[in-house]
Amino acid sequence: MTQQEGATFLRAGALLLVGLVLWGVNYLVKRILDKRAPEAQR
Amino acid sequence: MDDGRDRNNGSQASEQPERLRRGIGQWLLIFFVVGDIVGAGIYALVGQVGAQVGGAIWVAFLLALILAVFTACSYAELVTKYPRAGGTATYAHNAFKVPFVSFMVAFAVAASSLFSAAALSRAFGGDYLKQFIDVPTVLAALLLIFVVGLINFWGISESVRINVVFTIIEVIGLLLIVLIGIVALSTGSGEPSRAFEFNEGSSVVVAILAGAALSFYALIGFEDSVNVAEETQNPSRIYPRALLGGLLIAGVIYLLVTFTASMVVDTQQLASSTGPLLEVVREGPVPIPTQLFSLIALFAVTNGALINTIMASRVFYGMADQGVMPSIFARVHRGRRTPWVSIVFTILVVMILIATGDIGALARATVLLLLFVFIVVNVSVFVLRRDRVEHQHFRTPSVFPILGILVSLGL
Repeated sequence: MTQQEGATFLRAGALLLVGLVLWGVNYLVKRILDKRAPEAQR
Repeated sequence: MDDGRDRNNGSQASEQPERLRRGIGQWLLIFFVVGDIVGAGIYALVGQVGAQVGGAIWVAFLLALILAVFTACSYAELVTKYPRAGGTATYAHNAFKVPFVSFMVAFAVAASSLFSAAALSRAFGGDYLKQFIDVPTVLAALLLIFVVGLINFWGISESVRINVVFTIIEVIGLLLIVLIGIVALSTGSGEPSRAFEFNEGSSVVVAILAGAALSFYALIGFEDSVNVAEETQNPSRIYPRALLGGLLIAGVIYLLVTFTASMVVDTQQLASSTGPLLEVVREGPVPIPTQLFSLIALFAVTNGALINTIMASRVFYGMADQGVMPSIFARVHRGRRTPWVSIVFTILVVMILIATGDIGALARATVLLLLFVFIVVNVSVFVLRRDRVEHQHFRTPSVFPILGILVSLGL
């Protein structure tokens, strides 16, 4: 009901988007480091 | 009966050694639940709910209480089934086995704490503070959250004893309001009929639902008790009683407070105040110094903001420690031994949120995020019904999680 106000979704969504970005950055960094590790061992 | 260990393969916890002492009995757990629920929300939002519903504020709180019971029963089933597992994200992990879902659930929990801290900071800068000093609300809120951040960084240890003291002060404030209600009723100085009036010009059902969605903010906190399940004696037996008992006690206090507020103060006056219970003290028949009550209210909202920032920063730290967030968030200050990067991040986000909306808007965002979390919890109950454990545990009626999901979607 009151939650259906666009601004409420926007606020909550924006913060979840920050979380999504942090998750994505972490995922990419870990993938890059995982790829580099075997190369470094060679 | 429960020996404190899962024997199924659905929990990694069974392979870990016992680390925490089961020192929390039934009454202490009830106190913990009441203390987690009762607090700043009721001090800040009674007027906002009145604006939605009209004089019948207690009806919205009663509906919110009933709705909270549905999800509380789901938590009771999951906690007693996995008494060593900690937190909603763990249930989501056990149910869905998708790391991204677990991450978003954990982040949503932390995000709701950030919104809640912002809402309470704005409540701090409102009418309660104006009893002592007249400063712009946003400026006072920003200063408060900065100080709260320093305390968080300094290293605050939440012992049970301190928590009990905090809770007693907050409950005393609410009991003073109930006392005002009793005296007003007995002397005939209140208007009980106002507590049964609804706003004109809008559907009563829609008004009650809108009010309930906002009232829900004052009832959240019961879900925090899952974090002490591992330290509870015989959780299969004690936890459901304590959770539902604590919720009931807090609910009754809220109903009495909201009934009193409507009876003693005009609804428009309540709705326009950022310190609604202060209006009750001011208009009520009991001579309570308004500055004393304001001090109690300021203490309640400060405590709420502090607890929420501590919780959020620790969730970020925990996620970074587990490798699901950038490792910088797991950095611990060498001297203070606190997660300073997570704390700085938490405080900066709360400061931004403070500037984006009023108490009601921030509280609604808090509830929205928690409703998402509650949907995941209720769905997890059904998914995990396939996962059988050997020990006895609480089993919620199957209709409750369904109602919990429907209600959360509806709100």
